[in-house]
Amino acid sequence: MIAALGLLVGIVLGLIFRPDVPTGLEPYLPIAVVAALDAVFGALRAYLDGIFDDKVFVVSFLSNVIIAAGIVYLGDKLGVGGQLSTGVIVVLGIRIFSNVAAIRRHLFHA
Amino acid sequence: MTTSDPQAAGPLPAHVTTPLLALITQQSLDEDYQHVAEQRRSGARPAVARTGRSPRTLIAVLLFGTLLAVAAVQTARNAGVTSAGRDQLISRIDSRRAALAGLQAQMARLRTDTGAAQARYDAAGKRLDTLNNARAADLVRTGFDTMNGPGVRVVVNDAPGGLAQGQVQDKDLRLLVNGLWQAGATGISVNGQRITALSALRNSGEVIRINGVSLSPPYTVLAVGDTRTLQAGLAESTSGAQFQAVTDQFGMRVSMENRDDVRLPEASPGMMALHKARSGTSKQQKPPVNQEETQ
Repeated sequence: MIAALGLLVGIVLGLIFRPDVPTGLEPYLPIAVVAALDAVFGALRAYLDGIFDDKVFVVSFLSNVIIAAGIVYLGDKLGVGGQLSTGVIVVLGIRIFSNVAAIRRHLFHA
Repeated sequence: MTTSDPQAAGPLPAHVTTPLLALITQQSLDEDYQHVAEQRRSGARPAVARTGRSPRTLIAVLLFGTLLAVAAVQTARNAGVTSAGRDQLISRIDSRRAALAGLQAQMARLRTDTGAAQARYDAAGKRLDTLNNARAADLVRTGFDTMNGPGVRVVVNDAPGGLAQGQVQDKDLRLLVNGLWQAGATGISVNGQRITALSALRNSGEVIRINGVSLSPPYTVLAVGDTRTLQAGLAESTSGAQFQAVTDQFGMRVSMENRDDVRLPEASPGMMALHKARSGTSKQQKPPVNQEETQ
């Protein structure tokens, strides 16, 4: 419940302050969001599995975001940014889908 | 690791043999959660029930929410910029295209105008040629341009004896010149002075003047015209007959001969200046200003 509240507050804060993203970081924002989404869904699944650990969540969240953005940044520097971001999106997307499937099983016992 | 390694003989571990996509699906949950749960179960870690209420979780989720909102806002903002640029480009293309169409229409219009102007210019050029030819002909006819051609040469001299009666007068020469005109002469000169439409033979005391130049005997009258008819026409004309009568009466010496090539000089252009003129239409026939000049 508190987590949901935190999410809501975060969204509201972002909408209110609308911080200007530096132009250099702009291309990595969407990929960071997808990575964060993966971490959040993983955490939700772990919570429903009863094995949630806040330390693991925070670490996985930060590392996911940083690594995903870093990979795409590296790809941009090497000239394969588009392909690498596609790869990252595919992997993260599959993980999100399977995590959501597990959550679904927990919630609906189906 | 070599092939002689006893571990290599065994079955390969699952994370090696599993297809990549299947592996991703299986490990979709972070292994760390399992790992920590195992440790807790085995007592390596304190079995504290971790829920989602810790401040660290809250901060991470807060961060996630902010990230989400910022990304959405940024994307919306960029979409606005991108589509605005696109719309601007399209409108710019449209306006340029309209301008191009306008310019092309203008070009076609100007081309038509140019054609019409060219036609007018050609017509004007033709008219100019015609007028120039007419002007040249008029200049020759009126005595402001040289004239060459066959004609007659008449030399008139005072009667011998020096009597005043025997001196050639302006009216005598006038009779001769008028007779030549009547006989069909196209140009006449007297002692190298071309007789123009504005010329008059006048006595100034004893001296005959023409074109502002004094003449002295003998008077050589050159006339361009048809040599076959000029002398006969002169004799038949009233002026010619009067001239004949006067010269016969006072004994003036007259010799007349045909010439194949008579060269008449042009009158000076300064004479062309109109000294007396009145504005009016061609229907308003004004009487000649100076009777003397209309011979």
